[in-house]
Amino acid sequence: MKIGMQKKPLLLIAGAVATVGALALVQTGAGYSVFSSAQAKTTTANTGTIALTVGTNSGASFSQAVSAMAPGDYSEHEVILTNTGSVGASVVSIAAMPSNCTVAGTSTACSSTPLVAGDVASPPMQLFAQTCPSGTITPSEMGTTGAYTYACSSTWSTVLGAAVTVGGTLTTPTSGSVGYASYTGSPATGSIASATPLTLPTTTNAQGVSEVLPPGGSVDVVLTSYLPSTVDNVFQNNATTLNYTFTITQRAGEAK
Amino acid sequence: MSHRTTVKIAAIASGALLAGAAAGVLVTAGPGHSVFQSQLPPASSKVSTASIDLTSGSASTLTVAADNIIPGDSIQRLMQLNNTGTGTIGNVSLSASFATNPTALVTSSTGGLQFEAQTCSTSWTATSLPGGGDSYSCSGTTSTAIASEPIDALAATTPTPLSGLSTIAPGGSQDVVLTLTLPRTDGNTYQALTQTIAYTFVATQAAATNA
Repeated sequence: MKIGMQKKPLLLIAGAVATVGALALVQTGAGYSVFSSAQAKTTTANTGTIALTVGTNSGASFSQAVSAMAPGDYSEHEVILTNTGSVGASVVSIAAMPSNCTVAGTSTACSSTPLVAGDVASPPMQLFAQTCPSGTITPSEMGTTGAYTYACSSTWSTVLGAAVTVGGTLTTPTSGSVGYASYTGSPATGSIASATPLTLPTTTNAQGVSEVLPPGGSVDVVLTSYLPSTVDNVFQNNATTLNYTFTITQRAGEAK
Repeated sequence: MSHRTTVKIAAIASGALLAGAAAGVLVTAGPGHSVFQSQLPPASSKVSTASIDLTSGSASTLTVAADNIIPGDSIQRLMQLNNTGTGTIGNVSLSASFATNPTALVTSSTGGLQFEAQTCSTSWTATSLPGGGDSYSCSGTTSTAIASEPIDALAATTPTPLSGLSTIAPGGSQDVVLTLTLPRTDGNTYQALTQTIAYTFVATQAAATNA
């Protein structure tokens, strides 16, 4: 009977030990573990693209040379700029830099900053860029020269300045035999040596962010190079190659 | 009568014994005697442990992909931390990991995605976006749980504690908004990249108390 009285407390103690063990405040080394729980989730992000292709409707080459220009002449070139990327563009820009400069029939190095500081080999041609936002542009080949002129079925919209001068202020040459010294040209009204935005109409995307070329969008632009009628003999027998660079820039950031 | 008197004495004696044993012990008399007896119920103490169980609530949007992001875009996703256990959650830490062949989106400290985590003193309001994601605004005060840092920092270190997080009682929840931003200065090399980021939230119990 006394034995039975002793066993009961022993059993209780044993039970208490077992319960403490189940609490699982498990020691690991010198520290203590605690109860914990983990939850895993994944997020996938992919970046978009912005890509520009250049084409024409008429089949005329954008690189078509223009020769024998006289004061008052102009030439037109069409370019269709398409955003083939997956995100919209907020800016379409154009820049032009001369190369292969010739003065009076003699090859001449172009100025290091030809369109800004002035380049004697780069005549002050004026450049216009126009679109036909409410109509269509129709090309017409002029004779058999491969040169085209363009007509807008509606109203032209000027998207690059009223008169952006390709070329800067001409400086007085220190030597030479082509008679520059008599020339006192007017200062340039502008320069597109660096990327210059076209003033295209904007739209807003689904999140209200401004764009000029949404994904898949395109704009048909006619560039007109004009040799002002006021230029004189100093520009005879000059030549230059203008390298155009078209750039589209992504829209502003938005929440995704 | 005398017999009954004897029995009473025995009963008094057994009561004294029981008081001394204090554990419900049987007392028996000699053969041929019936005695009064009394037994205390067995003493017991039930001890049960709590559970810490962190689950993702239905409001969570972490698994919603973000498509066609560009420099300057930001991605907000909400994680609803639900305590479905019986113990109180005291701390939550977060780490990130990436699949094999991680892209520059997560390997570059300068051009890669920048990460930030915030909590709201009230509740987050979600606004649906055309791309399927949501943006979140807080009508109260936002608190920074993890300050802005490159996402690779979140992966390179031990899990980062969400600072300022309130304890989460059983049945309670806490919403955290995670924001990824692609730096505006990134160039074209970041185009057309796809990256999956795996987040792991680890909840630990609140400090032990005398229960």
